[in-house]
Amino acid sequence: MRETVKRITYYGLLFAVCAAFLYALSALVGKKITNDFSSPMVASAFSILFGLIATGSVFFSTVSREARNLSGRSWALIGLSGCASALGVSGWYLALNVTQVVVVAPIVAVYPLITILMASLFLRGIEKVTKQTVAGAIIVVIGVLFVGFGT
Amino acid sequence: MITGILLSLMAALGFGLSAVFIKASMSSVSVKTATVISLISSSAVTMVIALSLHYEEILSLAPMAFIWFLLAGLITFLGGRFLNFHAISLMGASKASAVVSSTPLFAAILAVLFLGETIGFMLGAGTLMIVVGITLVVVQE
Repeated sequence: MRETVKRITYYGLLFAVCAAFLYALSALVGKKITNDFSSPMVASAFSILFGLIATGSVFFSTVSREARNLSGRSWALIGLSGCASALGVSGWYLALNVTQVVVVAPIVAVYPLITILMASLFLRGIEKVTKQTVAGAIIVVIGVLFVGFGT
Repeated sequence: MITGILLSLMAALGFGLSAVFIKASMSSVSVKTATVISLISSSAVTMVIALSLHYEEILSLAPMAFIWFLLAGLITFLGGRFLNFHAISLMGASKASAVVSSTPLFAAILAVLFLGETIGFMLGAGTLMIVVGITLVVVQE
């Protein structure tokens, strides 16, 4: 049982690290787009639209089967997640339009701590937030700030 | 300045809440379906904002731009968001967010490898902290 939990956590870690790498790669592509073609907000909107078309095409059979049986609560939660993420991206770009990156980056970098706070409030029966997770997340956020200012 | 700070807080809150909402929905839906449905609402919100603020610019986009948008969409959403949601379903929102937030480290590594940037003290110390932080988050009894 314990081994299974460990294995699941390490698979999760692998997926999370790959996601972080892909987001970094996407930042490089985004830099090329905003240098040569469009403003960040337009780039973001169209990237999401094309991402939706591609993801919807690849996962079409699963989505069409599951979506019919999905409860209203699930639709609402997933829809809210998408809206929250879109507000995150839009807020980030709009903030950069009105103030400097040295102000915006450190504030946005604390988002894992907001996730932890919200998870401890709203996911009580679903996931456990330990002191070690909080300590680790704070160290990651400080590290991210160091990397951000170092580059 | 205050507007910028408020918008930055909105961004942090948006990123933070997104993971929590997804984790709350995971018991009844697969990662594939969650990714697609979340992209529908994300797309609606960003398109409305982009059209209302940059309508003229959208009408004059070069055809080549759409190929780059497609590439960005494939990397960020078919790749990044799908794997991020997988990580959230396996590790939980709080742990997965801490690990995924290390994105600037990978951006810095790519910049060192492909753009010839050098590794300074801040980058080295930041990298060490991120590794220690992720280890603390992941390795728990």
